[in-house]
Amino acid sequence: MLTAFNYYEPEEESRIQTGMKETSLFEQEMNVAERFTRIHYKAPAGRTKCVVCGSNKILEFYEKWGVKYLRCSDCYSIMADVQEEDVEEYTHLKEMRDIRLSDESQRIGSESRQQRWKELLDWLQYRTFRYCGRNTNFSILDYGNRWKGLSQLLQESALCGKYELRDSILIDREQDEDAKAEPADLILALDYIQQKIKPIQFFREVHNNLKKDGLFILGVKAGSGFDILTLRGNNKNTFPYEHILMPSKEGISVMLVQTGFELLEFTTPGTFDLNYVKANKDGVAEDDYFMRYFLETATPGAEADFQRFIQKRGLSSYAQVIARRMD
Amino acid sequence: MGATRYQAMKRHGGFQIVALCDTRLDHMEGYREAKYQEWKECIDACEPQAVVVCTFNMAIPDVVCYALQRGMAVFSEKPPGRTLEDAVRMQKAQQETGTILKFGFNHRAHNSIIEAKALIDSKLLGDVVCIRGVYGKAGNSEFQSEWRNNPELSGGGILLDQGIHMLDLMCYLTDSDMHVINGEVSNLVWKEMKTEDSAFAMLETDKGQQISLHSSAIQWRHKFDMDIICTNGYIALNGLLTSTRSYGEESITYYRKDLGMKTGRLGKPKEYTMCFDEDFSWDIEMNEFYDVVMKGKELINGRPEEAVRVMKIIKEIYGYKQGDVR
Repeated sequence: MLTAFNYYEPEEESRIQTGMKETSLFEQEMNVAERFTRIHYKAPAGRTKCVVCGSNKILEFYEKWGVKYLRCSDCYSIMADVQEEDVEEYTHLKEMRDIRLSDESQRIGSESRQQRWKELLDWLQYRTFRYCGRNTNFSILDYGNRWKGLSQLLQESALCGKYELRDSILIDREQDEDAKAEPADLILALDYIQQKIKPIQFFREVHNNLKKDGLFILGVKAGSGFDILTLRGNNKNTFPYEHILMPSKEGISVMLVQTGFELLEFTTPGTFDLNYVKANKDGVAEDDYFMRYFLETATPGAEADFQRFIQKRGLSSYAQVIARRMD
Repeated sequence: MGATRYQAMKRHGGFQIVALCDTRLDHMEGYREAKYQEWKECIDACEPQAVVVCTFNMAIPDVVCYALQRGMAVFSEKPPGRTLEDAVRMQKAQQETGTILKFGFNHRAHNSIIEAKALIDSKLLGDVVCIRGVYGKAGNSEFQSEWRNNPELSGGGILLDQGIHMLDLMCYLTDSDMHVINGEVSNLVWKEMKTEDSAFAMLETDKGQQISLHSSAIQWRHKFDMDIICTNGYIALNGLLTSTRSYGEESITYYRKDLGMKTGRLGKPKEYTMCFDEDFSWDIEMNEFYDVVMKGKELINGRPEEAVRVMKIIKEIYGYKQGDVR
């Protein structure tokens, strides 16, 4: 299995990432999510099985805004114990949609993400060539993309021959429901399955919408990631109902195999985990003595080594996954 | 090598191994298949559909040509004999018989090389302009007396044994033939040895790409490094995953040219590294051989003309100082 990492020195990452958070917009979104949660979440759904692997060994892991998060002892995935209809309502929440579709949000997002998107496109062109022997003229089905800039970049690239959005705030709901996609060469689901309460059903849908040997490219917050497991409920970047599913590396593999895919690569190119935990070190569990000690005493070199290890061994919290449809 | 190929065929599942042949019976202990000590007798008695040849360089051409002439497909270890003439002889036998002949230029099937080839061919980093390669071996206490350093059996030293892999990779990655601009084959440390312990070569491809190679048996630790410079980026291949892991972790790192410092500092652009913790190279090679023989697929890697090409370069390097190839 390939393991990979894209590496910046931490201070370099901080410099480049300046402004990436778009703090006020992010906080607005978080406030909307919290309000929604406080109003809608009455009680746990009473989940008894892991939505990823089906195991009944799921234990309470942490709580955020009153929502219980469970962790599977078999596949290590993390999931919120929430009702399906609440998730459905959240994904179509007008207030959130308005913020995300606002000119300001799209403009700031595009400006700050331009370089990252360019790198994503490079990566897609490289990996499609690696696995398909070509990197032009693909039919692409893009799930959940909420950035006009990214959608445009993809459509204008040589990678793309035909492009269709699905389940995206960038298109009307009616238009989406009427859509009947031709099988695609490439399906993208970047930051998408985090809101899936039935991920296997989605993987099956992807399988049906892909051509034979087509590629499924997934970008997802991984429940096996360092900052997710270290900060748990104190992680400000993950919250209900925005993140109700954080599958682990093992969980993703289980779902892919179960739904007829071959896992080609699982990489975690994240560069910011340790800096993020360090910036939120009050959120580290009091009895996590090693981490607290490390955060207080590590030199920049030690921190860089630590982050590098996390990236290289697939333990960073953002996973890029490539799978191929098998028949 | 025979045992390695045997295991790869077993893992594949499509091969029915009917017999083994080795001059030493003790090498075949524990195997269930029929055993022979004479290769000709083995081929004649078993009449297999395919023969896998893993033997001394000296013996390779005779076994390969005999099997080809009997209509058998052949997979042969590298090098393709001891000399260019050996390689040409095998190529001719293959052409005359129309049967399949694949040479085991195994490094092409390593993960980092597969990735490098895709990266280069994708044109993401532009065109390759030059390559520097170092392939070094640690040597060992019995190194001087190994069969590999007996010119009668091997035909050459470290250049023919290991440097051949790197030369093949350089041709493969540039998709080009090369000629020698300068070559130096020496005994820098193992003075009494009859084959070289070090070979330096400067080469140029048909497309004008500059290539340098150092093939060394005096590295004192195993080492595999290749730098590939492209018009818009740079690829570094480091290490090679082997069963003993003695060549270090296998990785490919690439950098895009970033003079505008969008991804990092000047001189330190963003790094993209891929590491590998499994080696499927033996399986990939056997799989290709199987597909060519059984499914009629086209042979891509280890073709006889590629073997001749690389042996021609090696002959040029060996002959450079004597001036017989200039």
